[in-house]
Amino acid sequence: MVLRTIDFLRTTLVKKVVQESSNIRTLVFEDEVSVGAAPGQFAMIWLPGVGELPMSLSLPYGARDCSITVKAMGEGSRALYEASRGARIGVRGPYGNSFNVSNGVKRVLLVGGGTGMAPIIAIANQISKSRKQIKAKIVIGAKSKEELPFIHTAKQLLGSSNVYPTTDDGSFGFRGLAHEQVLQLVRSDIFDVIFSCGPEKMMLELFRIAKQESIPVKFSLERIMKCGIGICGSCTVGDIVLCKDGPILDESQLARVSGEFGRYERDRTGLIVAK
Amino acid sequence: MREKKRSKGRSSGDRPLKPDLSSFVAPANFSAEIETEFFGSKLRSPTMLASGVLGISFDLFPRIVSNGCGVVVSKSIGVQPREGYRNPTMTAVECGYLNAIGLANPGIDEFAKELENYESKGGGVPLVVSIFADSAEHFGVIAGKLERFDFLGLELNLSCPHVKDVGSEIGTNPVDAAEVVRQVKLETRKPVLAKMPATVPNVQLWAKTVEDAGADAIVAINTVRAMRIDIDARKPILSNRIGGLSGIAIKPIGVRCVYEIYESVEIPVIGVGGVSSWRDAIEYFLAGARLVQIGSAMAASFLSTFGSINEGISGYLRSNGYSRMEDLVGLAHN
Repeated sequence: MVLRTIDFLRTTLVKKVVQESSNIRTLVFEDEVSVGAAPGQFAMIWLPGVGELPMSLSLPYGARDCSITVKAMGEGSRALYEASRGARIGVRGPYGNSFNVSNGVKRVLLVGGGTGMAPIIAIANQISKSRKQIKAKIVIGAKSKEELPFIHTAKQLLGSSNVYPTTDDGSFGFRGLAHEQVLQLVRSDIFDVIFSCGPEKMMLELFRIAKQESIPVKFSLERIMKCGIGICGSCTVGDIVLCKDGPILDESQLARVSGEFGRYERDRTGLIVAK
Repeated sequence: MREKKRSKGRSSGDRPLKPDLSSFVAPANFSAEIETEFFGSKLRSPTMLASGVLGISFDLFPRIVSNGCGVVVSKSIGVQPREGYRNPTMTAVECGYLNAIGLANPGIDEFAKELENYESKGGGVPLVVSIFADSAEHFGVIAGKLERFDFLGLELNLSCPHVKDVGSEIGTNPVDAAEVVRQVKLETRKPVLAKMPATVPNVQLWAKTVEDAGADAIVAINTVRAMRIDIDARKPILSNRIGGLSGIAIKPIGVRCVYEIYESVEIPVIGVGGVSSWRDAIEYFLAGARLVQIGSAMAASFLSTFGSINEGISGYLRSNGYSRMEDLVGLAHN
């Protein structure tokens, strides 16, 4: 039996808290094992006394840093959102697959909604430092201007003209939903792949657009996770075990689980419920 | 090889049901030496997926089997839906894993709907359903609600060690375990597999008592009650504090229990605990196991575990001059 370094819990302290938008924060910490993570991978983050959540690894602010980007949605994420510098967290991972820019891919469209921006900004960071000449455009979606995360960072990494903010209320950038902005972009530009993470309903719309335009996709999905290591099966979508086969799925995998993708998920008892 | 006599406690009318697996396509990595049978059903591998491991989604089961698993055991199903414990529900230790998922399950009524839906789409996966309850009577109720479905057998979770008042109390005492078996046997014609706690003080007595009550097979062992405290957070890691230890640490305990049970009863023994390679499987067969279950190994090698184990068993059989895996069962007792 192989006992893996990634499985052993490490504890560390929150080193810095960055306010990314009015309701999104990034917690920066050091973890020797996760610092080698590829964009898209996730860690199981323990807040002692509160809970443990799967969190995509976000923008590494410094060379030795790891981070997670969080919005207060439930009890666990609220406690993480309110964690301050010096708070102790536990980390295991990194787990899962990653946003991989294959050889021959030159033009990438990145789409992030809300905290879905965590792995998206991480891959944007990697692309910006890549020696391969990769052209990347990024769509960042939120309800309103105050809630838009990583606008400044995205402009620094990819160039202002490649950043497309969208707000539901039109208070900044494109007025409308992220996928509506994407529809315009794919009609005027060619992309070899779309990487996305965010609300699943958003990704469902993107999936339809990508299919119509014959663009391959890689989308990061999220489900309730308990073990995070392919044992308990809580994160199963169709016949895909998200923590092992994903969390990033391509268009053929998404097609295979189309009965559930964007529509259903399993609750904490394992029952399939509407999203 | 020791002769397996007809097991006691079963009348001639008690033949278990045989589901139709003929529609199921044979995958490439199976070989004849590792084929075996389970209460009249042909299995393509002597491996099973342990209860509580990936046994939630029926959509996943065919994939598990096509990767080489002989029988899938479902997540343990109880009377009521349970969300289980908050995370952390799993953590690694130096020698395996601790888990306290907390018997999360949708409850028998919802599970029955999923089973019905699965059967209406053709079914076909070799399946054992694991059940748990807080009394022998409730075990019987659940078994009764499952009787109309077509699957290979019922595994009784008598031994979940980390749920207060459920499982460990029922399982450790052989008299209580036997009563559960009796109640379930009243409600089903399917094979009843009794899964034994690791902490049973007298394994031979437990096994004989449960056999006499009518159990068709014994599964040994479940996880061992254990804990890990993080010295920096100064707290137990699992939210339930205590969890079940699985993996490499418990293999010697599992092998010892299978060995002792094999000596005491006629009914088949199924070994589980720390199996991740073909060598572990062979060890359990030699101790007396007819089949082995696999759980924790999913973390490191996921579904490829089954194919590797199947190939390894075939290789061992060929290089040692055995023609079937049954030839190995109990050899260590000679």
